Amino acid sequence: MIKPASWHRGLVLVPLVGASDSLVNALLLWLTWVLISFAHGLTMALLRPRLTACQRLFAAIILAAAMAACADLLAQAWILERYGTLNLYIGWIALSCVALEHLTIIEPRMFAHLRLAGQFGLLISSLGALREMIGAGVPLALLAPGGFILLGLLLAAYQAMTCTPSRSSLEEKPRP
Amino acid sequence: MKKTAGVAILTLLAGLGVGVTYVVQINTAGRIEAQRQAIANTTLLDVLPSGQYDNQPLAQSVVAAAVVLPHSTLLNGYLATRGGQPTAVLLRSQAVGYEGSIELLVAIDPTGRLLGVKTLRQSETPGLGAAIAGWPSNWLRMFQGKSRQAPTDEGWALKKDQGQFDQLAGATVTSRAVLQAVHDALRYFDEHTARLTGANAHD
Repeated sequence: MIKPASWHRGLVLVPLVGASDSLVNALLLWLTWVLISFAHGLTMALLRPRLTACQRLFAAIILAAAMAACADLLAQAWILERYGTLNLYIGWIALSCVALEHLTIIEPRMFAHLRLAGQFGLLISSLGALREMIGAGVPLALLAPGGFILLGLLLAAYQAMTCTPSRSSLEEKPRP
Repeated sequence: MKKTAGVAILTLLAGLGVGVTYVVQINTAGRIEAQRQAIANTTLLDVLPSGQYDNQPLAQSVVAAAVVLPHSTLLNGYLATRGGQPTAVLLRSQAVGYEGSIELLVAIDPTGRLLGVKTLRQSETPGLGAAIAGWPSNWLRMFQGKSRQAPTDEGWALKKDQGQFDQLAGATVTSRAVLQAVHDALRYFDEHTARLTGANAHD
């Protein structure tokens, strides 16, 4: 079952597979996302009490668009050779900022954002490293389908590691 | 009350956003253009082994206007030099392939030997003629070391046409067009060697 509060994790799936074909690209995108989304979140936190709900959406869009446009220009000026693969995801950063603004709040917004940043960073850096290592021998790992398969394997390994003890303890429980 | 304050904040935000983006754009425009140029240079010049030139070959054009050759059109020519000595001439040539025009960059050393051929633009059939794209291309590599004299003019043809070159399987028209364009470029170089390699003597 997917909890309604965890939909925002699906948000990071696109760049997680799309931009992780090299470790440097993955880390660059993650860093840019962390910088922009936290700057966006902080600015919105300042503005939020002074705006109506409708104005909040407009403010979030304007702010995200301006930040992403600046990041886009800076990326073109300094890392043009990587810009070709990353430019799509700079637009995604703006989208994710606006979507995060609409997070249904059960826990504090900042806490959810921080946890998402941590999980996203951990996954994208391990996936990037893995794909770069395997990619030399198995070209499939560098393509999007290979990225999905590896992501699935990573999550399965994580599940296996975290779930096995609890299941065995369940089995060993004496039955009435 | 909250509404008017909100509109003011929104207007301020929009103005600020546009302004900052504009300033960033103005300040990065020059650098972006320079980066574009540098990348365009490297994609053109990787046909030459690194260290073979120390000038800016693309700034040193040796063909003033396009020249029509028997099977192709010579669009441009560049001279690469090292320490003032010519090391290679790059001829940019356009031929008609199976699907459309093919643009090639042919690198020739001062003695007339082919250093390499690179496809700059093509729209040939994927899986067949499109094997000329990409760098390095295995099929184009067979031209390396050839010159106008070796093989002779009769040898400069596909095996199908009693020549000595293998063709790309299933892409006779593409193979023939590329081969004839390369041969044209070599012949042009042979006939104009002095002018093509001596252009820097005036500098």
